[in-house]
Amino acid sequence: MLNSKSRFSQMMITLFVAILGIVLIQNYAFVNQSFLTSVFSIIIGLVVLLVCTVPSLIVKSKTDLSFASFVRRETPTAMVFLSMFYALYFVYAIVLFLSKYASVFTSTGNRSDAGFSVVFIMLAVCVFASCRGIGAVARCSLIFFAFAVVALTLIFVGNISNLDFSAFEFELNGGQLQYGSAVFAMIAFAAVVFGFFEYNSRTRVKNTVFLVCGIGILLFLVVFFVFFALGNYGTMQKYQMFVLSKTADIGGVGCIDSFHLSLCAVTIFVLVSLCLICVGKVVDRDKSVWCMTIFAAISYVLYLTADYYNSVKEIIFNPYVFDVFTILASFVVPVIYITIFWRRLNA
Amino acid sequence: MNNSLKENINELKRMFNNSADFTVRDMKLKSQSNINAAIITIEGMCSKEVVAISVINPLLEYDFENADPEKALQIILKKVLTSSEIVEVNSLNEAVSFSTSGFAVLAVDGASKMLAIGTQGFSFRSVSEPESEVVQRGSREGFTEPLRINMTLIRRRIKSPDLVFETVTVGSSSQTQLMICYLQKRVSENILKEVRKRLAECDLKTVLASGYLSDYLEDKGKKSLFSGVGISERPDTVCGKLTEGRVAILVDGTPAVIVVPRLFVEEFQSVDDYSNRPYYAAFIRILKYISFFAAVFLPGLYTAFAQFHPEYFPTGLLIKTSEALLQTPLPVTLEVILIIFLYEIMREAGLRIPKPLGHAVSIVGALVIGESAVSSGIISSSSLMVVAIAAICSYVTSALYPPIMVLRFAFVIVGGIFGLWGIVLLTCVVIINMCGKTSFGVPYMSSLAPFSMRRMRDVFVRTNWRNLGKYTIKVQKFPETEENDA
Repeated sequence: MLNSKSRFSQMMITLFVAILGIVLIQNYAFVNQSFLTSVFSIIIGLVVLLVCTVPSLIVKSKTDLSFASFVRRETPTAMVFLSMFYALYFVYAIVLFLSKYASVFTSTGNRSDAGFSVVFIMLAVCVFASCRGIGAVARCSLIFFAFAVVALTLIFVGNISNLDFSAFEFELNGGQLQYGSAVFAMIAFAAVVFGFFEYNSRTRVKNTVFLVCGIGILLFLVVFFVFFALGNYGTMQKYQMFVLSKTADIGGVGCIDSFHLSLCAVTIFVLVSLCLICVGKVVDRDKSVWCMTIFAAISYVLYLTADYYNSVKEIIFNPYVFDVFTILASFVVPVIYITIFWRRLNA
Repeated sequence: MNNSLKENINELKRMFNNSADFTVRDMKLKSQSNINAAIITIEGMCSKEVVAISVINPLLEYDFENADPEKALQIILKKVLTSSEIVEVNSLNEAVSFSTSGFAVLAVDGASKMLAIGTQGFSFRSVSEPESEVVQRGSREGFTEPLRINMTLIRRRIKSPDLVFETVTVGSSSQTQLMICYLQKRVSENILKEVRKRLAECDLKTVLASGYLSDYLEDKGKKSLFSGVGISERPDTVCGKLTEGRVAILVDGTPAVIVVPRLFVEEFQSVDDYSNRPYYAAFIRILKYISFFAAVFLPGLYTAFAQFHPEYFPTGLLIKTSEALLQTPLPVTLEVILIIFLYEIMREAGLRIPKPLGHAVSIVGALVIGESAVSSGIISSSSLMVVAIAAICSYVTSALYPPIMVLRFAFVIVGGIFGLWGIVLLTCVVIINMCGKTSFGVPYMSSLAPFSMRRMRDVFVRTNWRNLGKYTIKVQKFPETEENDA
């Protein structure tokens, strides 16, 4: 039948929507202490993201394969061990993002639903989506991207009247820079997913740069409004994007926080679905219902464990742990492969 | 087939189980050897006048001299009959097929073949405007039941030798004739091949309507509430689709023509859009999209907001709504479901009821639901208003009514249980299902997802014809379905 691979630009939009989910569920309380420090943290996070995508871009330009397919072709035995590593990484990512999302949901939604029911339902829906394949999720993301543009415009424009620049400081805080960079570097998760995408052969470096710039603009806007629109009030709250949606005011319309609720749900849906799809690609069981269900079940058990044991939760929620894992998955392992197979890549 | 006329006729009578409409007109041809012949017809399928004037009279008047039966048959074929359509029949099964299609079958004693002569004269509905696709500025012609008339309606609009009709027969019992129709230079060869393959897989005994074939034509493993097989009763609509590289399937006995592939954005397009001014066409298109979303989401959102998020209502509306809801005994979710259910019952009754009784149903429906139920406090006026608006909106895109009806129920239930979050998640499920669906390999959500800026000229808006006519749209060239050009 007529078919071709998804377009590269469509994949970039999918990644943007997924990263938007990560942005929405973060707690930016540290931001209000120094805007300049936060901006530098963003820059460091973006540089990490850009650097982590380079190995996958090199593999794709040389072999026309994704990094996962390249590894499977060159070292099928090693792929068994690598697939364990990447499966673990994606399960960890699912638990981290869903835990944060459940926390956002129960804190901001004024709901009595327990987090475990929210996570269960979300996982079930994501299993259904991941079984449809990356093509369907990527197309879906285009529609969610349009919705995200509308929702974010409403949230940011609605807060323009609340802006107050009197609190601006030039101070650069080293400790905060380190922690902030770790938080913003979580967006390098996109580079890991990027390594698993199959897309058409017209690789465009500039599309990747556009993605990074787009994420940068988004992060800058978030930090800008959190710092200057919320100010000290924001430091007392837990999830500043939700607070921004609450304080947004457009012509007296008071339901803009419903856009935040909806946007969170759809972006996390795309994010977790991507994770499950990548797990399927890693274990070479693409679109397998059983594979997705099993890994979703593992994620759910791990979530319950983290929810019950605080020490586990602290490890999972630690941005440094996630960043190290991400850099290993997106940069270190691909660089090792590129180094070993450099001659074959250039042949 | 036997050379003996008597045995052939007896065999045909046996095959038709001595049916009362099986008619045989015996005759002797004017010749030295007095050749016997017979004309076999199915009563009601042939025009008696045409049979008499074009077949019987010429046969009786012609002098075959000393011709033998085989030669007599050839003379009849080439010189005697005045009908424009004559086919040689080599088997009794073929004779049965032709006679049941309105042909008069001529058998000559001693000849190894028969002749099927085109003399169709069965009654059929005249060409009229289709009631399901009413337009303001387009043609008033719609397809009818006979296949040949529908072919003519298409041929009159596309006077190009590229237009091809292929005959296919489906239904082991009904022997229903289909015509696969396409434009040779525009159609996708892959889609055409796939259409032929899927029609060949149809193993039904009886095919009485085009809807029977829909399941065979859908892409396997891509189940969805939305159909990837389009239906139209308008020749102008079908011709427009053919120029985009699609394939039409005409089914004998039904005015609904199948057009594949079918995309989501087409449900919001109509013939009037291409006749009206672009700004008005754009307005109507956007109105249709808004109506679709209102029809699907409005009752569910109302339920979710009333139960979980009353703070989202404006203050005045919140006061009125809560006053109305407080007076009713049922929870808002059950109330909305009850109203929707009652409306569906009335709608179905309105479709099936004989016309003389239609007024009674309208009055009962209006009084019972519109007046008595609200004033007695069983249902609230705000819930009734929401469902009524959603119901009216659903008729703006009537082709999508089945999925709208199901999704409406689903969103009300989910909204009542989980609130806005549940509605968002169900929307995600529906969108992912639609985005994963394909119709003959073409993504169902094409033009929207995968996005195509060029095709957006005819999605939410309709640009003027100078722009629209610059590029030829071919469905097989949509993103993620591009054929590899040789």
